[in-house]
Amino acid sequence: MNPLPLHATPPLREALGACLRPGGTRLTRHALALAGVGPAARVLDAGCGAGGSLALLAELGHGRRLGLDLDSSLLAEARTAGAGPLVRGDLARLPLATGCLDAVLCECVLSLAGHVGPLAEFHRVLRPGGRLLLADLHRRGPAPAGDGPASCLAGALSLAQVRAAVAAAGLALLALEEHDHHLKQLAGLLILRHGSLPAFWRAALGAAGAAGETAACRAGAGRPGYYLLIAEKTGHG
Amino acid sequence: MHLSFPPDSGPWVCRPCGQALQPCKVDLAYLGNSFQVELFACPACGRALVPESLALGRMREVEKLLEDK
Repeated sequence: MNPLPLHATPPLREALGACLRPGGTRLTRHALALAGVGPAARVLDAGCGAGGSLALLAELGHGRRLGLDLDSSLLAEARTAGAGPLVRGDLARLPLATGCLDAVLCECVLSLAGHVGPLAEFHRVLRPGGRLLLADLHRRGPAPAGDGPASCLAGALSLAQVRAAVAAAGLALLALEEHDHHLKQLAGLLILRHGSLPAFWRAALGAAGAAGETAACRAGAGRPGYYLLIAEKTGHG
Repeated sequence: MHLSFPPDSGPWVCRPCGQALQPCKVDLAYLGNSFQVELFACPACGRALVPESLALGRMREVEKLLEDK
């Protein structure tokens, strides 16, 4: 049996609720404002999970929103919560027409799903001038070795690699901000709940998974950061 | 997420006010971060009791995290 990905484990779900990432809707609000994405925009929440950001988009009057996720159980949660139009799909093969979107929102997903395929697809489905709103973990040390359980910590890139991947996809960087405090807020919450971060890893991933994550952190993936990036599709491609 | 930290032993009374401490929502703030927890506090003056085990355990761990230690 495959272990649950970190974001789906009960200890993390208990801490995060419907927004399966650091920062919650506060950071999403900031991202929408920073990118200048208004309520008339056609927005895809790529990797919408349980629909936390879709609920925010609905609250802000975004009538042309769409949520996409590969995890059918999370989509069922989003559907139950009335998140709006939803589709099950792969970020690297979006079931959407070329140039049909004004904005793509993707929060704490690419470090789990991979960067190259999804970024190429985001570029394809955005109209020229459309905006990508990307938030995710980044690492400051070397990539952790081994095949640990699926987690965004394991798949996180450095900020330089993120910039390069976005540029390689044909997207022009408009803003890049560090929001490490959101990650610290979450980690602090997990410590208060579980006693320490190793105790949280044990509760979430079991003893073997916890050992892997702790070793990866100590090897340099530790002290990860959290970033918000806004990019634009330029030209007519 | 509900985080409740009752006294390590009890019952406790606020000496200045003479009131028995009761569960109360408290914001623990440090270095720009804030965590809402439930502690026992005086219903009259609002002073909260931080259990020694919490102060020397989980709060100390969080402080180290926030200080990048």
